[in-house]
Amino acid sequence: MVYQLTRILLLTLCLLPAVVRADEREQAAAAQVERFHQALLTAMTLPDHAAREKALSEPVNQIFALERIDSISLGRTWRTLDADQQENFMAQLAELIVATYADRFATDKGHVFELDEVSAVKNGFVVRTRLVRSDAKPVALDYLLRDNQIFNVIADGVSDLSLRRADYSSIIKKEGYEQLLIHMKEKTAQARQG
Amino acid sequence: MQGIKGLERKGLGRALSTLLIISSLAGCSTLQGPELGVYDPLENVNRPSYRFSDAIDRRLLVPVARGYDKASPNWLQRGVLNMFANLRSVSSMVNGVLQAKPTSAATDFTRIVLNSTVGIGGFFDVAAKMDLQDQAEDFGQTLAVWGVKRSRFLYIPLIGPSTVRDLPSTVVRGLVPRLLLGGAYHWSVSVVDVVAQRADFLGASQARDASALDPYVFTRDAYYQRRAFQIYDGQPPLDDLFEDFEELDD
Repeated sequence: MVYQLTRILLLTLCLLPAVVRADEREQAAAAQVERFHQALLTAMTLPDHAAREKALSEPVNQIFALERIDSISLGRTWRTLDADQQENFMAQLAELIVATYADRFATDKGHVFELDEVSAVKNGFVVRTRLVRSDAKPVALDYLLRDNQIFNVIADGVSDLSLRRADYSSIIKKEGYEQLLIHMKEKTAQARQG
Repeated sequence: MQGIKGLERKGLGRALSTLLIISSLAGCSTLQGPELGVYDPLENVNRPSYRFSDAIDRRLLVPVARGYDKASPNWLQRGVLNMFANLRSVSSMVNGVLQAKPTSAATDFTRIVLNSTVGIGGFFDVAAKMDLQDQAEDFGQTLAVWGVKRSRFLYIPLIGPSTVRDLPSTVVRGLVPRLLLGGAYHWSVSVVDVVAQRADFLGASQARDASALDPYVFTRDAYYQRRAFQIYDGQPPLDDLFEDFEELDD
């Protein structure tokens, strides 16, 4: 009996650090998402698009796994690009992402972000949140994180990264990679005009 | 209540027989394509359908929806949407039963009773304030739960995105006011329904226009993902999503 209890106690002590580390990682994932939400809420108080972009640029570049997003967005095409081309695409996509968020979260409509839960999945975490708006139904916002950086945002089941990949793949197939870059610049300019 | 009795006498029988015919046709063409993923062998037909519908939408429906959005206050727009959602809760409740989801069906039933009475004909979504949310089940989801997962994409002219599996529910969705209101139905009800829905979708379509480089692909892929989300009642298997991205990440 004593031997059994001792075994259980030792096992618990061995596993405890892993459990604590898992909890810490979950909290870190939630903190990243909360940091992004705070950046959006701050941006919404700013008077113009340029100010919002400036406020969002650093958080987006730090919190989002931009290199992972780039490679997944382009799929096989990413591997065909040289280092300069990859760097150029990364810069273009980062600009587009920041400009889009600055455009979509332009006015404070009483948005409230609520954290629902954090789940560990294979090789990452899912942080489930909700965007509560005064004038419309709440939107489920799920963030997928790997290495504590966001690489995908899923709004009511619709994955931003999946859509981006399908979209870019279609343009590359029909018009080519260079034309994709031109379209991305056009979209960035449109977002800046509001 | 007269509308409900009318449904019991004639509409229900007609609706169910229509559903059975359409679903048997849907069942004939569901054995190919990725499970719940995009399957679009008819892209050469769907794209022109999308372009035609988009042109009509931008020239006709969007200006009307914008006018409606500007002219009517938010509380009125929300109330109108609530009333139509309340009617569709009947279909949602039936599909909850068909999917063996008693909690979902009971929630919809409670919502119908509360919103129709205390909520004054569904204008006020009283049930939502008691955390009884719209279950939004439909026959397309029922077929998916019954095992009909793979389905080819259809872009129906003037109606919008669907799949062969979802076609019955797309048809029923449009017919619900007519079926349930019975003698009280007038064609203007359907016009208000369409305009109110389009006005509610204005923000999403603007976001699509701002983001999409290929709006057809964007619409199609978003449709499939949204349907998977609904089929899994808001809890799709996220492990699969990670795995898909890992394959691309090599």
